Amino acid sequence: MDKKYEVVIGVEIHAQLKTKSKMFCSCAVAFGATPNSNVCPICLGLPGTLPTVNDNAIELAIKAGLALNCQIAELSTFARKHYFYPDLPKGYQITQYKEPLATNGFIDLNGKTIEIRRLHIEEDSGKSIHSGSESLVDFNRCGVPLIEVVTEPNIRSPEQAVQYLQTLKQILNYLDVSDCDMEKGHFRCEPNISLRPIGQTKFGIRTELKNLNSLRNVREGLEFEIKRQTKILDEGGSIIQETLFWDEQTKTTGSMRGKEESEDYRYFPEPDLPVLVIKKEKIDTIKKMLPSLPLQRKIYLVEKLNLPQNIAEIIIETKEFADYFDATVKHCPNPKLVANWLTTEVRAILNEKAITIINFKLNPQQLADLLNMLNENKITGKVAKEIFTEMLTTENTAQEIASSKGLFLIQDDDVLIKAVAEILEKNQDVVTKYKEGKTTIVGYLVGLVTKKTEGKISPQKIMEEILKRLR
Amino acid sequence: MISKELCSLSITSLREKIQNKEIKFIDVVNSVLNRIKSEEQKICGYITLFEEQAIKQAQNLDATIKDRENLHPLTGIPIAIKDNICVKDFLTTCGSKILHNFISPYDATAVARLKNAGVIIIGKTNMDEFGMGSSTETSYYGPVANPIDTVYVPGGSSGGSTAVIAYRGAIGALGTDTGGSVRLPAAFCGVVGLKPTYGRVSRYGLVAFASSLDCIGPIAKTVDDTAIILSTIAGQDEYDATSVNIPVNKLLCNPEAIKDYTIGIPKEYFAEGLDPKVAKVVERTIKELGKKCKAVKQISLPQTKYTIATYYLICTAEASSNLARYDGVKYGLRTTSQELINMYEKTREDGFGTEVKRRILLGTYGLSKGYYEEYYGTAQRVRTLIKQDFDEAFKTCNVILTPTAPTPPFKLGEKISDPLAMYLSDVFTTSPSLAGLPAISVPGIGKVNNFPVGIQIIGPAFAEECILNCASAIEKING
Amino acid sequence: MITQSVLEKVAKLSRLGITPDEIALMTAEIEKIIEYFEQVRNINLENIQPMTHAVAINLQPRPDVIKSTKCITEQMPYIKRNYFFVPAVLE
Repeated sequence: MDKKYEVVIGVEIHAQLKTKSKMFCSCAVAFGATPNSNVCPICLGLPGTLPTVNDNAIELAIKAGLALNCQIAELSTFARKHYFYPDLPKGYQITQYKEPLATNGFIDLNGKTIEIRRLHIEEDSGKSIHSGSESLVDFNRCGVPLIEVVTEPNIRSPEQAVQYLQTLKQILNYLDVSDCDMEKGHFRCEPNISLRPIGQTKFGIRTELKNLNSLRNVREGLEFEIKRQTKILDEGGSIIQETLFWDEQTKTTGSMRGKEESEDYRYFPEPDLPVLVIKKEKIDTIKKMLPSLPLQRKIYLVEKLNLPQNIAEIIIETKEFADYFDATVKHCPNPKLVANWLTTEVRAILNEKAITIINFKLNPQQLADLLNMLNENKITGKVAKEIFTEMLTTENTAQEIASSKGLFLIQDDDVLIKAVAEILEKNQDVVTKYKEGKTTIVGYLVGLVTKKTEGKISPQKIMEEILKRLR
Repeated sequence: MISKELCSLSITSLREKIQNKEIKFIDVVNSVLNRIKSEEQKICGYITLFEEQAIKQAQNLDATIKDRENLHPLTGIPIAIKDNICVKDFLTTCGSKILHNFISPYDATAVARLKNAGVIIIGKTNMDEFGMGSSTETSYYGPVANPIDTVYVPGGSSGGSTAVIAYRGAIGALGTDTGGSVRLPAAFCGVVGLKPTYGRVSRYGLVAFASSLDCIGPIAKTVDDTAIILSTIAGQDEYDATSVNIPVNKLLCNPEAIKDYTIGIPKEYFAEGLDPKVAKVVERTIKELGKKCKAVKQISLPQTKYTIATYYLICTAEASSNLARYDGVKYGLRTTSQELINMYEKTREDGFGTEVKRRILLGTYGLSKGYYEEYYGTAQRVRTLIKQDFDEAFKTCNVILTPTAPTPPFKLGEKISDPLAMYLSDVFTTSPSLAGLPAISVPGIGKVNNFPVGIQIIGPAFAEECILNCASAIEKING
Repeated sequence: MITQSVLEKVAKLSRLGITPDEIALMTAEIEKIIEYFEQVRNINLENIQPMTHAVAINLQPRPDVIKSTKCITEQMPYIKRNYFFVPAVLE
């Protein structure tokens, strides 16, 4: 890649809010329903209908704004944005324009600050499917509440853009504001990108990308655009300001035809909705009740619980996973052990079954019971894994399984001493080798004792006893 | 026959006869239907008649109601509904071809409240297309004639509602008023028409023309009748975020109350453009009222000369937005085409009349990039000044009295080719609309060319009682 | 200045089919009307706020509760197998 140019990226996202009903009417918000089954005169834009505002949508948007360190407006207004398309029944979208709900926020990305220009509320449109010479329209999605979040053009690389999106998604997940499933269309991303010669302060001409429906597509789309724009600029040409469509198959961007080219949206204040007043007390109350955000939780895991960074990052991936960790640690006072198990054994099962921790068979208490047995050296690590596997397919507790199969470690020291004494006596040549300096051979002896005791004594204890005897 | 005269009675009189069991519910309906049979052909006040349903409803009321003591005053009363107000399972055309087949799946809140009170809906009345007009000449279903003299217009856009009241083809009616559309036709047809304070009556189910101006208003033969209808339909509605939570009491019409009133007469309304014969009737009305009220004083509403421009800048902009939804996709007219944009353009070209098209173009222009601040933005600011004029005036008077229209009714076809001339008919009614204030038109003391002359009484926000009192006083003088 | 081409653009923006005759007539009428509107630009509007709403109330949000409404009826003629169908956009 040519390093002559600085990459300048800004990102606009739309995230569906997790409300029960739609933004401006009381129809259900649901995924996968029969087409046009969650509709009413209002979201269909029938003559004579009027919008009314969902209070939960406002609250979720305020939460999101606060988590992004924004100023929440005391007075905010709604506006109409006009364009013609079959999935927009009123011929306009109710959105916010001059006085949005939140402005001037930021996200910290490992030391780099991404400024958030604004966050506002609007309604989603319906969905059109193109089928030959016809389009089929389903209005179930029409009117679902969205927040739009727009950054300043602070981002300097596709990787950084992806990082921003991951962080933002994570925050919205933690707040329970949005499910952010890009594949389901809950979370849509439209980055804009321009290049400028390094050192220049004036922005270059930017293009906007649409149809990036996964983080991988975001990265690939932006990388492609950088190559495309670089080539044009290198050859002395100029970039056309336009909206480009990312084609996943050909992995290229192309001009969008048909839809609004520099459309005049004729924004004006929505006369059917009076001004939204948000009292400072309400903002303060919501702020107090915000859950711990990912960054805060990670800091806690690393600094207070001494977990390694990479492990902490896996744990905080989703709020549900982090909550599960916290709940397990409540019952098992070895955070490192819990962290290891969650990030290896448990995570492997989740991946295998393609489920999330919410649908994991064991609850935190059940997992903690197992890990406590390990933590207290009542079982070995190997045995713990066996018990774990069985717990996933039966209703038995860890205790029950260990008891019934006699998996507990022998705690009786006499048995240990006797076994070690016996093995050492039978293997004098190995003892000699050890005393001659081949210290690693002690592992062989540990293995013999383990075999003799049928794995019922923890290898550490065996090791300790052997080393004691060999002195 | 008794039946023939029943349709000429007021709601209160009918209520009395019903309560006394002097008459049956079906007698009232038959009286109205008979009148419709004889007059409707030449007036064309109705787009849809609910003859069968009305008769069935009346028969049902007669059969099921035993106790007539505690009935709502509107029970069994035939009411006409302007065709831009939704009535469930019936056509709501707004006088337009583009909605010629639109059957609403829901009731407007105002209609639901009337139904709850036991009203019998007689039919949907004719109107200027989408409420855009001052003469009811732009309807796809043909013009409405003024019952007083059928060569003349009834006024608009609620000309159908006022005409049917005037010829007694309904006892009460709902109209809609954006810039005078209840008051002006009420004046031209010699009946009473009230525009409530904006926010008093829910707009849910009123097909929007200009959202920040539209109001549903009652039309009837007497002031008291309009008050009864208003108190039934008014009140906050959870479906309308612009409806206001101010309690609705029974709105009493007390002509004696004006003895404490100072009546303001704005000097700007008595300038050029006001027909001298109309002015004479208004002056006579003021004189008679002056004998009964505390004081009459001249006031000033300095922004008056800007009201038409301000009103049309705002209403066309909002109309262009509200009518964007008529695209043939989900309901109404669709002119088939192989291609989407062509379908939109052809459907809207086909479905809208000339006046509507003109206003959509004006409104779109006024909102477009580069022009917003100059036109719509500016008009909204002038609107603030107009409101301030009224706030100032009401510091020294209780109500304001003006002519409703600058001229007597004009002939059908007379002004239709000159849009600007037509717009100027609204000069007196648009100010209170812009300010969101309540205003009523009631026939004054005297006539011009056999037509009654409408007197407009304007009150402060939510002071419907004051304007009803004053209008009752005029009514009483007229005897 | 309202020229025919300006009005044609506005007609396109509002998806309004207009015949050449109508355009010619409307341009003249609209020009006259806009000229009449121009007088509001002479008013001193310094420090005057726009009056967006006729009534000075605050928005009252509604509770997040689901209410089901059955409103797709046979009266809506453009439905096939639960979808609304329209001709496609010309590419």
